[in-house]
Order: sequence, then C-alpha cells, then structure tokens
Amino acid sequence: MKSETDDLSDVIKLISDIKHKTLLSSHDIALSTEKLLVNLISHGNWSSALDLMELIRRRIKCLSQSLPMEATATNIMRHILKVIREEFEVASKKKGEAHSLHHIVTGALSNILDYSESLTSLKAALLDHLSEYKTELETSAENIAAQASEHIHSNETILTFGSSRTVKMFLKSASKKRTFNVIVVEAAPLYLGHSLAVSLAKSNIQTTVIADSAVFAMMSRVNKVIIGTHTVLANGGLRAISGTHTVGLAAKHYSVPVMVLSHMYKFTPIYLGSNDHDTLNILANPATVIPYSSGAVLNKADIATPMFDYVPPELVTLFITHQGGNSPSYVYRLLSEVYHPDDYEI
Amino acid sequence: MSKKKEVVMKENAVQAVLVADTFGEEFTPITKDVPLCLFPLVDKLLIDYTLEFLSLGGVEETFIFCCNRVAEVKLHINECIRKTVGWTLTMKVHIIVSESCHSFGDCLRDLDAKGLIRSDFILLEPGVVSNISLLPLLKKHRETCQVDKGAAMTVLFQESGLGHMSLCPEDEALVAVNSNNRVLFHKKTYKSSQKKVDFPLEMFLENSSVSIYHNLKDTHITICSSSVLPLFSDNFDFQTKDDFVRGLLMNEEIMGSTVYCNILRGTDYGGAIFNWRTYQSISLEMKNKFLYPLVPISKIGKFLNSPVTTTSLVKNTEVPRSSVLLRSIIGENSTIGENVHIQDSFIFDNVKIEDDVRISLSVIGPNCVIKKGSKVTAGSILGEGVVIDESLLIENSLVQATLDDNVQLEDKIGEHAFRLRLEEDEDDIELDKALAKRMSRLHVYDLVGEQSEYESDATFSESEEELSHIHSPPPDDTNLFFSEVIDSLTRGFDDNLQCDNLILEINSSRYAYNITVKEVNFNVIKAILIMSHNLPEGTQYFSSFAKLLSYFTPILRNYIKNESAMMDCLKAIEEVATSDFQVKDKWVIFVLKYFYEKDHLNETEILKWFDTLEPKSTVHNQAKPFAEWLQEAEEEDSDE
Amino acid sequence: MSQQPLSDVNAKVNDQIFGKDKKNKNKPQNNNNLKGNAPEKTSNDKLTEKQLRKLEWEKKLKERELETDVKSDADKTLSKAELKAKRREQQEAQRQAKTDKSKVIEQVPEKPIVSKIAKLPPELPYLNTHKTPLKKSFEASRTNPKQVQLVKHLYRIPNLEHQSKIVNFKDIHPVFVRLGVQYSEKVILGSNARALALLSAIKTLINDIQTPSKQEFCRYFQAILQSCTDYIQDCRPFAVSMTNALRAFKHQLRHIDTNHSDNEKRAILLEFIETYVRNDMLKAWDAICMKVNEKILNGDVILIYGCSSLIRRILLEAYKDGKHFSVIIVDSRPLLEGREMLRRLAVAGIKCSYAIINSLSCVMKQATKVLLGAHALLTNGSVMSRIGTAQVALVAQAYNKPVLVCCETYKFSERVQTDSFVYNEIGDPDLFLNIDTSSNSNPLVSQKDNNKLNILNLLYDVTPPDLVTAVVTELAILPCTSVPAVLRINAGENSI
Repeated sequence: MKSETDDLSDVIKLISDIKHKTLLSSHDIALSTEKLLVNLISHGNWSSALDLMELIRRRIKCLSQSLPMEATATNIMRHILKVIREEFEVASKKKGEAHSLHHIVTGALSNILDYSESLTSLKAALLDHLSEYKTELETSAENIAAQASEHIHSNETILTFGSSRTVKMFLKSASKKRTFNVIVVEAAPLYLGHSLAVSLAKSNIQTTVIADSAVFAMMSRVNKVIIGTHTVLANGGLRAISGTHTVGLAAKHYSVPVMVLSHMYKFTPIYLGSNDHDTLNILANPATVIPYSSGAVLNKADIATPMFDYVPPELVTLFITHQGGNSPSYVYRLLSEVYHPDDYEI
Repeated sequence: MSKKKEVVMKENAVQAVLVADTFGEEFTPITKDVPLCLFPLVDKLLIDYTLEFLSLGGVEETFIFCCNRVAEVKLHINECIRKTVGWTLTMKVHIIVSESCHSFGDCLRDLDAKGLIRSDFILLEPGVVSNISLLPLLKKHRETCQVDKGAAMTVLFQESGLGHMSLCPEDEALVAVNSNNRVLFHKKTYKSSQKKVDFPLEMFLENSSVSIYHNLKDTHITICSSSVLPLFSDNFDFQTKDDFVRGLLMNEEIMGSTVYCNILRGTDYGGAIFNWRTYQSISLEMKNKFLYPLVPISKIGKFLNSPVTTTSLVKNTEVPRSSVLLRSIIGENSTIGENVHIQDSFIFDNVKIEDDVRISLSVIGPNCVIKKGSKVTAGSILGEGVVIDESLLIENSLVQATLDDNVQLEDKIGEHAFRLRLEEDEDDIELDKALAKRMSRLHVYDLVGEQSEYESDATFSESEEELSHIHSPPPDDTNLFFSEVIDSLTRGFDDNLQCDNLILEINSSRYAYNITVKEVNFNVIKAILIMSHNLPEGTQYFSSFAKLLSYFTPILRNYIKNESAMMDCLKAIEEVATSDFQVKDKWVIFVLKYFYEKDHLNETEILKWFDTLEPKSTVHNQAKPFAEWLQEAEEEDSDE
Repeated sequence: MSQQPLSDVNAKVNDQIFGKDKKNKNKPQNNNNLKGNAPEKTSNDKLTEKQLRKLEWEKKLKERELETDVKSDADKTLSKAELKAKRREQQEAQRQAKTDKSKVIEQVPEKPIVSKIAKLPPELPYLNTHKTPLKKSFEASRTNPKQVQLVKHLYRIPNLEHQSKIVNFKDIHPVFVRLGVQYSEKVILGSNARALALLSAIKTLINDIQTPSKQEFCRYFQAILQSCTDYIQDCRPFAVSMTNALRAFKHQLRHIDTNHSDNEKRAILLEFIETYVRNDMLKAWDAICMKVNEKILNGDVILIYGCSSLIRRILLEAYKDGKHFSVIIVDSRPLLEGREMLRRLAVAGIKCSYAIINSLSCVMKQATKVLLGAHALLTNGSVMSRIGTAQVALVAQAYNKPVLVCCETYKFSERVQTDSFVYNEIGDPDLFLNIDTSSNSNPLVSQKDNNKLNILNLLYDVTPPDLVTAVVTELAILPCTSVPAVLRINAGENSI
C-alpha cells in the first residue's frame, strides 16, 4: 500500500485547524484546501493521474468522516478531481475526438481513458489550473458583489438573516450606488446578525436589527430577502443556519423574492429531502439557548438546538454565483459542470 | 514510526498536567481492574475526551501521572498515536509513572523534582472533561501575575444552578472573591457539619467589594504559576488541591501567594468525574451535548423522539424487543436477554445479561455475567468478572470477583462474587463520612422515575431527610410570594404607607405568582408575625409588637374573613412559633390573645386548632393557658 | 325595562350588605356574652381607621378641587413645565429605587434567588443608565434619528397636555400610580394579568372615593377614573382585554340608577367587577380548559409558544386528568418567557422540550398540535398576540399541523387589522443588547449611538386567519371568522 508514503497528515492538519476554529469562514477553508492541493500535486507521491485521484479521494473520505458537515473542502477536492480528468484528456490529446458526433452515437468506447498512464505534462498543467482556480476563489466574492446593483434598487427594504461575508460585501457594494434599508435578523443562538448590523451601519447603510420572532411581522414590508447559505444541495435546496426555513416560508407567504448568494464551492452533489436527516444537521450546545445556570430544570427538559435548517428549493427564487444568477431548478446542471458524475459519491 | 511527528516543541509550549488516578476508594471495586482514565464515557474512554479537550483548548504538551495499571494506559495512548487521533497532531503526551505516589500532592511533588515544567501550566484533577478554550484563560492568568507577583493559581469555576444534577454536594463550596477575582474565602460547605459559616471581618474591611458565590461548580481545572510546585514541595501536608487553596488562604502573608478564580459562563463547561454520581451526571450532560464540540457520535434523527429521560445508549449490542432500557448506557459487545429491565445504570463492555434480569441504579463492570432472574439495585457496583448466580438479589453492595484481604468468607455470594464490606455498614460514628459515601453513589432522585420533584421530595423517608439540603426545593412561587410580601410589609411599615395599598400590592403579587387564597392568608399572617422579630428586645417588646399589629389591622381584617382563614392564621402562628427564630415564651399567648381580642379569631377555631397540636410540643405548652382560659369561659357561658 | 333587573340586583346586594352588617354587629355582642372580661371592642377601631382613611382621601380631593377652582386656566399652563419636571423626577426616583433594589440582590448571589428582579439581565453596567423605556422613547421622539421609519407612528409621543394634568399625583389614586409603574416595567405582564390588576385597582378606587357635596357619585367617579386610566395609558398602552373590561365597567357606571345612595352604588359597582371577573375570566378559563382537554389525546406532542397563563392552565389541567402528552416549548428573545413556562411545566412533571424560535422547523415535525395564546381576536379574524405567534402558525401550516388559538371572548375586539404595523407596541430596544447565554460582549453595545443602526423591538404581531385552524373560546370551538358573530351576540346580551 501507499500508506508508508502518504500519511494523510496534511488533511488531518486541515481538520484540526477547522476544529480548532483557526479557520472560520468557508472562504478561509477554501483557500487552505487549495493550498493543500497545490502542495499535494507538486510534492505528493504520484506518478499517474490515477494515483493522484486516489490520493485526493482518500482525503475526501477522511474529511467527510471526521467533519460530516464541512462541505467546502470536499467540494473543492471534488472539483479538482474533475479538473484532473479534463487535464488528462487534454494532455492525452483525445479530447477532440470525444466530442465528435460519431463517438456520441456509437457509444463511448474510447471514452474510457486509462488514467494510469503517466504523463509528464500533467503536473504543470494542473498547477497552472490551480493557480487560476485560486484567483477565482479570491475574486468570487467580489464578482458576486459586483452584481449587486442589478438586484437592489433605490429605497428598497432588504431583509437578511444572520451573517454572511458574501452578503455583507454584496450590500456594501450596492450601497455605493443606491440608498436602501436593511433589516437584519439577529439569528439566535449565535447572534451573528449583530455583528453584520454593526458592520453595515459603520459603512453608512440604514440598518435595523429585529428579533427572530419578528420575521413574519416585518416581512410584509420587505422587498427582497438576501441571504447566504452553508451549502446548496443538488435539488436546489439549502442547508442553512436554523431559522432560514422560517424566513423562506414568511417570504413565500408575502411573495417576497429570496436570493441566495453562494460560491460555487458551496454547491454539493447530495440530495436531501427533509430536515432531520442524519447528515443534514448537528446539535449545538444546549447552553447556547438556555444558560447552564438555570439549574434543576435542565435535568428534566430536552433542549433542542439544531444548527441547520433544510430549505426546500421552492422557497428559493434565485441563486447568485460569481457567474450570474440561476434558478434552483438549474442547480443540477451547474453541478455537472463543476464535478464529474463519477465523483458525486466517494 | 509515527513518532516523528511534525509537532515541534516550542520553547514556551503550553503545558498541562493530568493526574489520572483518584487516590480514594470511590470507584472500588471497578478501579481494581480498570483505571479511572480508561472508564468508558458514553462512546469513548474518559482519557480520550480529556486529551481532546486539552488539544482543542490549545495545550501542546501534556504530562499524565499514572499510578494504577500503567501498562494499559500506555498501550491506549500508543494506540491513539498510531491511529493519529485528532489530538495527536497538536499535542505531545508523556506518561509519568509514579507508583510511589499516594496522593495528588505526592504527584505534584514528584513533578517538581523532575523539573519538567517550564512556566505556567494547566493542572487537571482526575477525571476532568471540559470544552473550555484554555488559551484566553491562560493569558488572563499571566496578566494577573503581572499585577500580582504572588498569584499562584487561578481556579476555574462554572456558574451553575442550585439543584443541578452535576453540582455534586461533595463539591459544594462557598467562595468569596474581591473585585479583581482574587479568592478571599473558600470553604467546602459540605465537609463541615455546621450550618453557619463565619466570614472573617477583615475580608469586608479590606475590600471595597466582595462577591460571595454559592452557585459555583468546581471544574477541577486550575491554571497554575510555576510557583505552585515548589509550594507543594514545601508543604508536605498538602494532599489535594483543596488543601492547597485552604493552606494558601490561611497563610497568605507567610507564603506570599494568592489564589484567583475565574467564573465560566455561557457555553463553557467543565467538570470532573470523581465519584459515581458525577460519572452519571457527566455522562448525561455529555449525551445532552453540553460539552459541544466534544460530543458523542449519534444519529441525529432520534433527537426529539427520545427525550432525555428515556435515552439509552447502546453500542454493538442487540437489545431484544421485550427488554426495556431507561437512561442507561450499555458498553460494547454485551448481550442482553429477553425481558430485561435496565434503568439509570451503566453496563461496561462484554457483559452478559440473561433473561428476566432487573438492573437499576447500578454499575456493572466489564466481563460480568448476570444470570437469569437476578436483581441488581440501589447503588450496587459490580467489579470486573463478577458472576451473579440465578435469582439473587444484590442491593446496595460492592461486589468483586476474587477473594482477597478485604473480603471475609461469609460474604461469599457466588463462585465469582464476594461482597465488599461498605464502611457505612460498620458502625461509623462519622455521620458525614457515611453520608459522603452514600451521596457518591448514583443519583437517587431519579429513583422515583417520572414523578415530579415535589412528589419525590415528599416521598423521602425520615432517614433521608438530613440529605434534603441537596434537594433544596426549587425557589417556588410561594416562597417568592412570601418574600415579596415581607418586602412590601416592611416597607409599608417603615414608610407608614396605607394598608390598603399594601393589600393591593399583595394581591397583585398574588396574581403574578398564582397563589391560592389559603396560601395568601397563611403567608401574609406569617409575614406580619415574622416582622416582630425585628422589634427591639426588652420591656417595650410587646407594646411595640401591639403597635405593629394594630398598624396592620386593615390587612388582618382583609385576609382573615372566615373560619378557614382563621385556621390559616393559626397555622401561621404555629409555623412562626416553631421556626428557628427565638420567640419569647409569652409570644404565642400574646399573639393569640391579641388576635382574639381584636376579633380576628374566634374561640371555636382557636380551640379546634389547639386540639390539632401535638401535646407536649412547645407551641402546645405555650398556648395551653390561653386555651384553658377559653374553655373555662365557654363553660361559664353555657352555665348561664 | 332595563331598570327592573338592576334594582333586583341592588336589592340582592343590599341584602348582602345588610347581612354582613348584621353579622358584624352580632359578633361583638356575642363576644360580650361569651366573656365578660374581654376588653375594648374592635369595631370602633375599624370604623375610625376606615373613616380616617376616607377623610384623608377626601381631603386630598377637596384640596385639588379648590386648587383647580381658584387657579385660572392661564395659571395652569404656566405651571405645566414645572409640574412636568417634578413628575419626571418622581418617576425617576421610583425607577432608581427599583434598579437599586435589583442591584442589591445581584451583589449577594449566595443563593441564586429566582425572583422577578433577579430575572433581569445580570450585572450589566449599562442596565442602570438605560432602564427607562418611557423616558427614552420620549427623548427619541425629539431627536428622532433612532426611530425606525417604518413604524414611526408607533413611537409614543407623550401627550404633553396629558402630562401636565397627571403631574399632580393628587389627581390619581396611588394604586394607579403603582399600577402604571408595574405596567411600564413589565412587572405585570400578559393580558389576563393586566386586566385583573386594572379591575382590582378600580375596586380600590371605588372603596376609597368620596363624592364632594353637590356632585353625583357616578359622574364624579367617571371623571376620576378617566384621569387615572389616562395616566395608565401613558405608562403603557392598554391591552385589548383592559379596554374591554373598562368599557364594560363604564357601561355599568353610566346605567346605574341615580336614586341609590353612594354606598349602594359602590356595592353595585363592586359586585359588577366581581361578576365580570368570575364569569368572563375565571369561568371562561375553566370552560376553555375543558374544551381543549377533550382535544388532547394520549401521546400528543403539543407545541406552545411563550408563556400564556391560559395555556399553562390548560396543560396542567390536562396533565392532572392523567393525559400522557409531551410539550415542546418554543421561546424567543428578548423576553424569553418560555423559560418560565418550562420551569413550571417541568416542575409539574410534564415531559418538556425547549427550543428557540429558529429551531421551529426542526421541532415542528415532532408536534401533533399547536396551542397558542392570544392577546386579542380582531373582527376580521386575525389573531393579535405575542410577537412570533404568527411565525409559529406559519410553520405549523407548512407542516400541516392543526393550530388552536385559545382566547376568552372578553378579548374579542371590534378593531380590524391586517398587518402588524398599524397598531402595535414598541418595547425597549436595549433588551437586545444582553445575551445571557454567551460570555462574549455584544458588538451592538459599542455602536448603540450610531444613527444608522436601529433596533426594533415589536411586542405584538397579527396572525392572518388562514393560518389558524380554530379558536377555542368558552362558548365553542369556532373558526376565526366568527368573531363578528360572537361580538354581535355579546353586544346583544349586554343591551338587554
């Protein structure tokens, strides 16, 4: 086995960084995953594309075992798997043929590539691609933010839930051209909405903080809901922080459009249809909703603290990525562009 | 091979010291074969959680002191390193074998001699689990040290509520701190039999602000300056951390060292397993995710279908449908027969339980066999490899598998089962000690299962009444109401407010707390009477008392309207007279007379009440002359 | 027509009063007979005591009258500012006293006493300076930037004319002054408790009031009551329950027979309040408890929101009846009343789960029924209730769970409202700054004075009728839309 040369320590380091909260935002995780891959490709012990793909697969497995909720890192690795396939095809000069009508009609016999073939040009091509990808990661948020003025017009009231780095940039970018009001829902139990509100107010956007319970009441005056998400699922649904489902329902009730800002690495090829699915949710510390000092009552009551909500696709109006807007029904297609179908399940 | 870890030890790596063994007999007979740190805790071993906590907390180097079954611990640690478990990446672990040590203090003296500690370090008592982020606290400690050179230790406490399961009575402490969080006073209230606590007066004179806490849970985690180890070496009588804290506080001037504390709030959790009771409560709290992000892996789908009260954890073990498990944790590879009933118990690995067995509030050690139809109840602990024969009843006993010096032959209950003598069985003069033993067993309150706290409190037998302070009643509405009434009345009396306003105030608090009319009557009268204790003693006492009562006449009129209210009033008098307050001997008769004369009470009710009194009780004696006088009057009356 | 039953009632009341009197008179005599040596009688004491009290009150009122008579209107306006300042001072002092008290308790946490006061956010330095919601909103109205434009109309601009009038505490019975503070400090919370407290305050007023000569009792009483309730309104807007109770009472006040003596009138009014409380509240509660009880089945999981006194009663009753069910308590900031509910239900032994409103869509799946309390039911069928109720109903509908709203008919209102903004109440925004479950400091605190940053703390919301399955009232289980019918019937009953 390869285990002597491949000790997985790089990915364990990544996991422990995430666990130790030295990497907090998904953006940071994305960047360090990219770094990990660059390192792996340039110094890793591999000779063929097959080897490399196996190395990456093992890292994905390791990640999804110890951090089942963490989609960003695995998605990036999954994307790179697809990149490897493509680059390999290019390198082995078979790409042109694969696209001919003849091959599509007569079946894809020659499509089965022998990835074990060792190609010297592959490494350089991959590293090239990765540096390109890195710039894409770095500019993704700005690209999304650049579209802000297409979606927000003057004197609108925007509601957002919790805090997302992308949403913050989006709103700030819009505020350069338009004046509008933002309603920030505080989003217990983490209350990230508070820090978002402070940051928006500092950049001179009229901001109102409301409690989670006031979402329905306020929704009747809201023009648009703009939120971030934890992951986008294959059916166009969301796994987002708990409370988002209620926001979506309220928006639906008042026919308010819901826009979800998301990076491509948040698109995950899994299908989930319900809220309490094993792999969807984790329970947080009960002390985040009721203080430990409440005493005897804690011995008896069951404190439910789910971290995530499943938001069905019909509650989402639009996804905005760095490539532009898409409706939830198009997510499956985006997925097939980013990942190879063989890599959906690892 | 994997020892070539890339973790480079920095010059100032954060160090932690874990003393792995308790040196008492809390966990006998199981600790004979399984060291405390290898106890299963929900789904992993205790040490796994402790080490993960340390690594997540930011510790880079840990020393583990082992005295018991060192080889097994070493084996486990090496296994972890081989599997590259999370903590192995960022933390180095050294095991220090110290079989000569017989106490916590010994370990630290040993450590001092070895000179391994470079600067401030984190000290863990046995059995600690927590989710605290240690680095900020360490930083705070260093800041404190810069201000106060003598700062030796920061003790971490967690804010907790009274009546909390994990607030072990043995750990109950009274802590006083000043505004800099310097500990001025620390007393384990449980160990003393006194009900009173004396604070030194200087404490209040020397500090502008003193906070006194009684709702703190000791996390058994401390942050120590390097001066701690020499202090332990200098003072051979320091056996535990508590000795240390007490010693330092007593001889503050001589040693020139001070203790600080840090009170954790929010999601920070810390606790230690040092007896079965804490083992149980920490297992439950861990299952309820209070130690997030240190959580057992569990299927989430179940989380609401099974409220806390019914959750059981089973690993790798088949449970037949006819068997019931309640609030229990079953270890790996165990077998459970048909129609087995297990509640509030812990079953370790590889246990075989045959059909029709009942187990409650007990711990079954590894490799035990419990044969058909047996019952293991009421805080029994079975050591490793015990075999309980068919249809035996094991109640409140410690059982071990082998014969040794501690066991007499007549205690044999089976081929592989010998009852260990409990100390409390012997004529233990020290009540406290016996109590401590009992309290260290699994939680008794759950015995009554689903019943409410009130009911279960009521069902406690006389013998357990002395323990009742741990089950301190929740601050219930009636008490709140009562204290509010006292407040308003005292204020009303002092400020000479109109009684009608006071009545309204009382009524509104009555609605606020949802108090029945009877309770209102009772509490209001009680409040008025209790106010008499604040009156100046001496000859003027009764006249001022009368003044007080006459002031409250409208209130008395308002509440004592009918016969049943009179009864409530009399009950209140009885209550006050029998309460802890020193009432004067004439007090009861004075009150009765006054109420009678002012027409608040009539004679039939007084006599009726008098009959309900226990003869020879103090109240009875005090009320007797008055009752006799009433009876005479009545007789005279009927004579006419 | 309408005179007949009234006089009947009067006769009855008189009987009762006389009966009582007789008893009182008999008692001392009896005592006399029984024991000759018993000293002085108490009835004197009592009489003088009461009379003294009345005299005092009367004197005050007369003084006030004199003042108003003597002073010209011009005078009045002159002194306005002065008086206002004085009043502010007094209020401030009261509040200060309150906060001081809470501080004292905080400092000695020897035993964590869960009292009303201790429940306030613990030891926060800014608590002391900003614990004055009334004053704050007033200042805000002047400076303006900290108001949310959308709900600008809801910020209460203290009625200046009003304030000048009520500056003089002599005008207002101390009971009402206290009540006002209790309302604004949210010591008395919940529409039932507020209505009860108001009625009991009116009772005290009835007992204490003395008509000046040449004035008709009811008229005079009405005037006094008006100024008292105006003051209360200034402290915190009336709940619908209070408005309705007050309206019923005023109706009675207007239709009282002028030929009765003052004492008779008093008795009639007191009796009226007693009956109102007994019939419209206590009996209604019992009836609703019974009705809901039928709907609770063994094995039910009931989701509730906040801490409605009625819902608590229902659940405790059902549990006493031996029903096996569990409860999911959903709670939300900033009031977090659900914790109190959790404590009470858990102590009673009911199996409870607790979740915050954001977890709603996770816990809703487990629920079989949703029980909600109400602040008021509006004529268009909308339910006005604690903020968040609409959200609970919305999620319940998304999961197809039945939503039962429990509401006494005395809380039905003739108002119509389609959203939560036209009429609402704004709470103290500073409540948001404190998070008791986190040890970190809140970023909002530092930016509190930023004009761009507002915090909106709405107290109520309006649930549209299509989200509510049924309303449980003491009359029947009805659809929301039958509110007008119930109102019509009730109005009909009253007019006969």
